[in-house]
Amino acid sequence: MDETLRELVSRSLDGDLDDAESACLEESAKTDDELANEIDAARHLRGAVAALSARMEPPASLDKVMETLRQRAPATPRRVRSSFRWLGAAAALVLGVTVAVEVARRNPEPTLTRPPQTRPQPAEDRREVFELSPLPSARPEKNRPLGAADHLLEEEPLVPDASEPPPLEVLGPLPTDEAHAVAIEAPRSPPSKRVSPKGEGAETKVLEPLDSPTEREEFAQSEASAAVASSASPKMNLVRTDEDRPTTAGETSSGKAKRLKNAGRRQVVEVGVVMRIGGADVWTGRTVTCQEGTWWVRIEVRDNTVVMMEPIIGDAEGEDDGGCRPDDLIGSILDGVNDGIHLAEIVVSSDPK
Amino acid sequence: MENNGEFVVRAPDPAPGPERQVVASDLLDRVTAAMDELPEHYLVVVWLRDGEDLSYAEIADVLDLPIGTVRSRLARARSALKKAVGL
Repeated sequence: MDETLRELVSRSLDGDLDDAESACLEESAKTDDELANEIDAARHLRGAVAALSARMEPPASLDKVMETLRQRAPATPRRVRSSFRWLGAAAALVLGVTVAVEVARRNPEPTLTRPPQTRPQPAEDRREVFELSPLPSARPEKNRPLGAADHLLEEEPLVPDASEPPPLEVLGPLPTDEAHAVAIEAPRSPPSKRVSPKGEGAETKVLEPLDSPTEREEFAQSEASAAVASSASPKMNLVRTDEDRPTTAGETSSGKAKRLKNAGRRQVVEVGVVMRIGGADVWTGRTVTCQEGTWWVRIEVRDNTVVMMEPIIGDAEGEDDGGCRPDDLIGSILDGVNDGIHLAEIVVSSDPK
Repeated sequence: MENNGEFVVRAPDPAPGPERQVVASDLLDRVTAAMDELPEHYLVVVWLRDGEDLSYAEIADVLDLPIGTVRSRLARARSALKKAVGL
C-alpha cells in the first residue's frame, strides 16, 4: 500500500483528517477492499493497544519519556478517564452554586434599609428608623426579576401520567453506594423455581413462577440471606490503583485479582456470558470460570474494543474460587457501540449445551 | 425479563462467543509480543497516541519533533505493528 495512503488511514483513526480527506478516504474504501481491510485492521490494532495500556504499565524503555510527560503535565496521562471525573465535578459545582444563588435570591432575609433623612432630628429624640424592604413576590409584576429559574417556576407543573409508565432510559452509571443500594432495595421479580428449555430451541429458557407458599417462603429466606451477605460484604474499589494494575496481561502485581461473583449463587459451571448496553446484546461468549449472576459495569469503548471495565454493582472481593475477573472482557470486540463510556450489563447464565 | 407472566431468560448465542473471546485474547497476546519487538522510536509514538491518548501536537511537544514527523512515524509504526501481529 502506498505510503501516503497508509498515513491517511493512520490519521483517520485519530480524527486528524479534514472533511475533504475524510470523504476521499471513505469513497476509496467503498471500492477498494484492501483499503477497507487496512482501515478495519488498523482500528482493531489501535483498540488492542489501548486495551493493553489499560492492563499494563508502559514499557520500561519508555520510562524516560513517561517521566518527562509526568513532569510537564501530571494530569495528562489517562486523560480520557480523568476528564470525565473532572467534568462531572465541575458540572456539580456549577449547578450547586447556581442553585444556592437562586435560592438565596428568591428567599432573601428581610433587609434593613435606612430611609433618607429629610430633616434633622432633635438631639434627645435621635433614633434610627428602619423599614423592611418588600419581598420579591410583593413587587409589581413588571419589576419582578425574571431569570431562568423564574421561567421554570412559572411554567405549568408537570403532572406524571399514571396510565402509562414512562419508558426507562439509562442516563449513566450511578455512584457505587447508590447503585448498590438500588440493587438491594429494588423490587425483585416474582420468584421462580427452575429453568427449563422452552420455545424455539435451546436459546430460550422459561422460569416458572413458584406456586406453593412454602416454596415462596424458602425463596424469600434465601433472597434475604443473599441481600444480607451482599450488604455486609465490602464494596469493590472502583478506582484501579497502581497496586491493582496488572504488570502483564492476565496477571496482577498484588496477586489479588478482582473477582466478580454473585453473592447469592456460588455454583461454578460452564456458562454463557452476554454483555448488554441499553438492552441490546453487544457481545456474547462462554466460559467455565464464571459464576451465574448479573452485574452492572462501566466500560470504556474505543474503536469497537473494550479498553476499560469497572464493576459498579456486585460483590467483587478477590477470591480464587472461580469468579470472573473484570479484566477478562477487556479487549473484547463489540458490534455497533460508539466510542466512550457506557453502562453495561453482564449476564452470566448456565448453558445447557 | 417478564413476558406474559413468564420469566424468560434469553440464553446467549454460543456460536460467535468462544471464537471472539479467543480472538480478543489472542490478539492482545500477539500485540504484546509485537510491541516488544518494535523499535523504540516507533513504540513511543504508538504508546503515547493509543495508550496515553495524547494528540499529535502533544506528542510532538513531548518528543521535540515536528508534527509532520509524528504523523508519518505513527503511520509507519502502526504498519510495522500490524505486520508483526499478522493482521
